[in-house]
Amino acid sequence: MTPLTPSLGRFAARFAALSLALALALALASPAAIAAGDKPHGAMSPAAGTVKSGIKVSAAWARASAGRARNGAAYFTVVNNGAAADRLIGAETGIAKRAELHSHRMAGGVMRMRRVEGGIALRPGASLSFAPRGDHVMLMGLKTPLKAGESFPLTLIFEGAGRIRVTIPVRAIGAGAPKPHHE
Amino acid sequence: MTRRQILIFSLGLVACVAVSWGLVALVKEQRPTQPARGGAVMVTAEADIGGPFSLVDHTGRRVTDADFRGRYMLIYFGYTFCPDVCPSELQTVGRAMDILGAKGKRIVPVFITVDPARDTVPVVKDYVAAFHPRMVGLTGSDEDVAAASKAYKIYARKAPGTKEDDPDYLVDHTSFIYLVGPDGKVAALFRAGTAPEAMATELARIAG
Repeated sequence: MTPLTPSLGRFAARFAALSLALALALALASPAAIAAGDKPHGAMSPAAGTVKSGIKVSAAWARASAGRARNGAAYFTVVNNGAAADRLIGAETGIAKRAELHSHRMAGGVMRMRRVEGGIALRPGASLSFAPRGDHVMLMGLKTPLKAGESFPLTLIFEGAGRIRVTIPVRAIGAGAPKPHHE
Repeated sequence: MTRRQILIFSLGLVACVAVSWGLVALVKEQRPTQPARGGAVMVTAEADIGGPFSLVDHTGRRVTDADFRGRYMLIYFGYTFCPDVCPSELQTVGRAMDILGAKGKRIVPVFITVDPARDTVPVVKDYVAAFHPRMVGLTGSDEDVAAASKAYKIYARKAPGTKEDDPDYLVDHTSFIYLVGPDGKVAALFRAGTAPEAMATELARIAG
């Protein structure tokens, strides 16, 4: 190997220092923390929703089942008004065989739905929308089809706030999401 | 090369790897905070998609693409166990048809399953009725469905990691909405997430 010239040595030293600083910065700001770092958007209605330990769940709904469809989805908004970071790690309901946190990835027109491993981070101030074609709680193996006008209980499990029970109203196909509250 | 230079160079290399790892982890962890948006309408002049098919409709009758000549087909490929995207898109189709009203009389909304094993004729019949009274549901043998999917370049596969005996399994699949003209050729392509109003406007322009 040819010896490094002094200038190349200086470059290597600078490169190493810069890279180390970058690596350290990235390590401190963990990917999960950055991922949840969306800005809180929109004023939330203080009336609607379920609040516990600063975690508020609101605007919950599910679409009525089409025919005898056995899988469904629940949608809602989660806001972390608390001082501490939290994480949505699971969901439970008696109306389906299982409830899972799911996310979509669209690539080249192909929709791939996947279970979210390790939960979804919620930084203080973060607001996450669970909506059609995005994150949702998937209800696998519904015991009976979801009917418009009815509602069902869903328990969301947070790492910090614990279990939050939410009532999910079922909306007719074509009704879409409930209108957000603006006050 | 001195020991010091080798040390510095090695450190630089390690840091470089660490940074790359961090960036990869960051990109992997980046999650869409809003639903995936399609929105835009792509109109293809002479697309290399579409073609003949022979399937069974939701009343149990065998139909082919030729039966639709002279009318437009608004086709979505999906499956009834699809909890989120398929009902979202079919709802958009139903609403676009409602907005069009009489202007849409030459358009037939069509649902083609990619999951014939579970989507039998009666299942498909109940499913399409939920989205639009004129929606046609198509299923068939594995071979029939595979041929139709191939013609439309549809990717459909059981989601990786599915347990063999899971009756509620999910399917990864291409999620576009195709407008097929009276000549049997694809006239337009709508991305998943297109708003019903935008779809209706475009449909009225092409097929109204």
